[in-house]
Amino acid sequence: MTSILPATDTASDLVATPGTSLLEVDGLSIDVARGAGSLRLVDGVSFRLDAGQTLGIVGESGSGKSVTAMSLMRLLPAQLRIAAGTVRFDGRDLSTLSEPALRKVRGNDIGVVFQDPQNSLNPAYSIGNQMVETLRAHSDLSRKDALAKSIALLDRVGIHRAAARVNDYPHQLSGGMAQRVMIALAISLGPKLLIADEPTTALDVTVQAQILGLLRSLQAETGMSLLIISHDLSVIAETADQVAVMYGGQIVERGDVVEVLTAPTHPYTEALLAAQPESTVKGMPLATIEGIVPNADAMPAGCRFNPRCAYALDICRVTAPALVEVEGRPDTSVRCVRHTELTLRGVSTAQIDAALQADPAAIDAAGRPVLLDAEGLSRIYDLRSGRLGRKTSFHAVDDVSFVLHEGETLGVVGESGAGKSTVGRMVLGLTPTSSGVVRFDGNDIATQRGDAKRATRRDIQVVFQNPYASLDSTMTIGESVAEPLEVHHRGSKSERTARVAELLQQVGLDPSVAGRRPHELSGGQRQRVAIARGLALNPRLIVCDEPVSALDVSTQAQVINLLRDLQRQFGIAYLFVGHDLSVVYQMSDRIAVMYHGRIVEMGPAEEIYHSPKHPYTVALLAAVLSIDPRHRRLASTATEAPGEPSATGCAYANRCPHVMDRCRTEVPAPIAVDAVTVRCHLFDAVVDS
Amino acid sequence: MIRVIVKRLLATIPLMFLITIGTFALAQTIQGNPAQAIAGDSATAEQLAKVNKELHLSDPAPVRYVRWLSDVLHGNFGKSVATHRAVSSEIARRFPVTLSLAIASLILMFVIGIPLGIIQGMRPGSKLDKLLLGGVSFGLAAPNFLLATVFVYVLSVRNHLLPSMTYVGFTKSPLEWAKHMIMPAFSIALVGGAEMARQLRTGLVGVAQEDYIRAAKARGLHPARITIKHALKNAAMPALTIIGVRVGYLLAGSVIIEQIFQLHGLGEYVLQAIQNKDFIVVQTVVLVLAGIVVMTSLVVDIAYAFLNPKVRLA
Repeated sequence: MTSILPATDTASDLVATPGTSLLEVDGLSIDVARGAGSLRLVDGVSFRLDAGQTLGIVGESGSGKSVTAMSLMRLLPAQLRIAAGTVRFDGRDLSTLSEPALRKVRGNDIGVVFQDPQNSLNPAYSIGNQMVETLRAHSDLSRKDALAKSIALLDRVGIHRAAARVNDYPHQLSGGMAQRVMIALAISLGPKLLIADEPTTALDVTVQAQILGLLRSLQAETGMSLLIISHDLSVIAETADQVAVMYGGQIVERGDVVEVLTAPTHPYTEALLAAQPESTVKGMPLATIEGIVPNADAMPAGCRFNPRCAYALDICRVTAPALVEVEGRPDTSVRCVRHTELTLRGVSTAQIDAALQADPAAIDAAGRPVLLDAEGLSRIYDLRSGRLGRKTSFHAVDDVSFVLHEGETLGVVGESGAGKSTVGRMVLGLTPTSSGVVRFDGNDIATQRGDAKRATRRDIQVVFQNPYASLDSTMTIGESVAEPLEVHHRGSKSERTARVAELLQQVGLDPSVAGRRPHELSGGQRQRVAIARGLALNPRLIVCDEPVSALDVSTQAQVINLLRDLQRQFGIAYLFVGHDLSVVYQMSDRIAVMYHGRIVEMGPAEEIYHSPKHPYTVALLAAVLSIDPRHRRLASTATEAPGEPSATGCAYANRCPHVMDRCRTEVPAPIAVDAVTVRCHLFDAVVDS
Repeated sequence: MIRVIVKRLLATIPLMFLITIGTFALAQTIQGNPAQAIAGDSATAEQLAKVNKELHLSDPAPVRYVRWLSDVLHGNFGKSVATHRAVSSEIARRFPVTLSLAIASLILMFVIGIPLGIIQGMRPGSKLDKLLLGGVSFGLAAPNFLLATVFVYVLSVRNHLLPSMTYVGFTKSPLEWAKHMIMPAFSIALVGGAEMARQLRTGLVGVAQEDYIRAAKARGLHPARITIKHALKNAAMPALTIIGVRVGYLLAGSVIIEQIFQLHGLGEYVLQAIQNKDFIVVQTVVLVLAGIVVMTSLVVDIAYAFLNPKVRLA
């Protein structure tokens, strides 16, 4: 056998033959200590996973999915404990197994890949050290052999020059690289089961596709089972055979992934699918799930989903439904008293196609006055590196130009480190420009002083990504929203109070929220507060820096709808920075795609989304996952880690499938092709000829 | 790693230079009329002029500074204006005493701080942890001179268990050295040890929440290995910083402790010199002590680089 990976077990081992269950979880309940008593976080979760199969557990934050996954190998924090249930793995109950016996299972029979790969590697030791340690903890390999195997494993997970990189420390790796190392660690002993807890949540879109592809190819090679936990339905749709949908600590629906996603039987599953931006024709409001995910200390009586359910009846508020088999579908179980009478909508290919083909009426921005004009923006950081302080410079933003018209949305999309947030901060005047000019209403904002500067500051507001950090926790919501009014001396105290109430209503919050503090609100509510604060001074432009990235899918849809409503109502222009192309597409009239500090392609949103020109835009779109499990887009072969951005010429050269000699030396200039501007030498010829 | 050491070493040069300016300036402020102090209250104007001339006291300060600096660089620290003995030979005689005290205190600091910190940090919230937290609070609060006095009274005066009031060189008899050192060193080390225990405990509790500890557990590593290898190295960094800060306190503490235990070290020397307005001795001893603090910081920095690859590879 040429593979360096052992197959999960020999064929003679009955347990590992396909079709028999490897993992059987029954009635699993998890409690968290709270004062003298305890609170139930996970309530009676049951599922099974067969050898060689993939089970996806999907749910929003607070659904109990990660806690469930971590409890299987008893990796829970000290204050959490398994209160009831069994975890049968390979014939043994892991919930009662002795610590030393469990230690042999950990790493050896079950591997785990965590959400945050860079923090899951010990920063004080090289990756080789940690790999060798793991191998030797479970086998009698010599140090030398263990190192050789580590290098082979790193090579297998697509890390170039593995023999050199084995000495790297975690901080020297990008997020994607670190996750590859984590995967190499997790599979190094040939586990029968790999648990991946939000394995791609912290990663860029293109990296996500590679990591999921890698997991699938490793599974095909070794025959291991995969348990994937995600908040993202498309991750599950792309990878899972079976799916379990969790809500409020319970499984509400469970079954074959195609059946569940195309013909859901639980209203929550239907609502979750509908809230995906992909299933909506652009310009139409996204379907939302009203309300918020319940907390463990305030679970609604009856069905836990009833306060948010569009189909709830009186009985739903009283009777807690059991998880029962759906008639005629022995594979599917559902927790809903009305499931026999309801006909729910699932993913429909026709609908997604319609959404794609629809030609929404884009606003005719060109006819409107230019509000913001950015010309040749650059932000250069000097770095000292090398032995005797050899100076190098890093172009966080490199020659970026764009215009934004009144009432228009320009989406800026790119991976982490592309410079998109820096562009936003330069427009806000929070990051100084190294060169270039930002003109607002025709005036260079860098040279403005006094009243003119204050006026511009009023007119340009911001909504940040993290609503948990962007609100001062010591101030009430009312004080936070009123702050900009005070700073700019707007109105009397009573007028300000009235204005705060009005603003809170405009963003869909009850004005009584004004007396509360940030920690009493959910993430979505806090983001609404942040938006209310942004609106307070009637701005003409709001820079939205990843405003929905930290939110759950259902809340994300609410905030997107809100932002669009406000734009329609007040004619505000948005500079919308994001990494999720489908969200940016939904929001934007025009899109600028950034890679490594430069705008590589810019034009009308439809044009970019439906006929991308720059190879990077093409790759970005190809990496968007499908929410239809019947039409998966993910390749399970392309697993090699992408090249680093090129220092000379086109930054994308090392990753580009169409790379030519001149790409490595000459920085491509922006070229107008059809309605878009693209920075790529492939189009030189088109224009020349 | 070597690059880091060289870099840090080079960085101490301008620092030491600044310290010479500081100590020189400091000595200027305390001197009053040194010539008068040296020659005595009954000195004639002629005698005063002679002293002034000998010590170039009438030269402008920058000139005297440069002369002093050049002398120091040549290893010539001058003579005590009070005793007329060479400062260098006096320092050579007293330095081992203070160094012994400092090293013994540092060792005790580790001996107290590390095990307590680990025991507490491994099971935070346990009965033992709470008990030790009480002990740590006591250690942080107890003034060293009080401890020293109590020790001397209980252990030497009442029970004759340990000798006091004398010093035995390490090279003469390591055992006797240790016996003589343990009380003064412990008096100084308790605060630092308690602080180190507290830092280490906090560090370990914090590190236990880290994803990489959970990940190490998920790979089936032994809990002892996780604590000793994975947690300790990361938790040690804040505790290490304490050492750098503590050495300054330690030397300051030794001034008092040397008095209580009648140890003829640098602390005693500098105290006498201050009383005698002996500015040459003061500026020289302060310079030596500052040099020790700088060297300790250097060692701490290098240890930091050893623990933290981000520093090492920067």
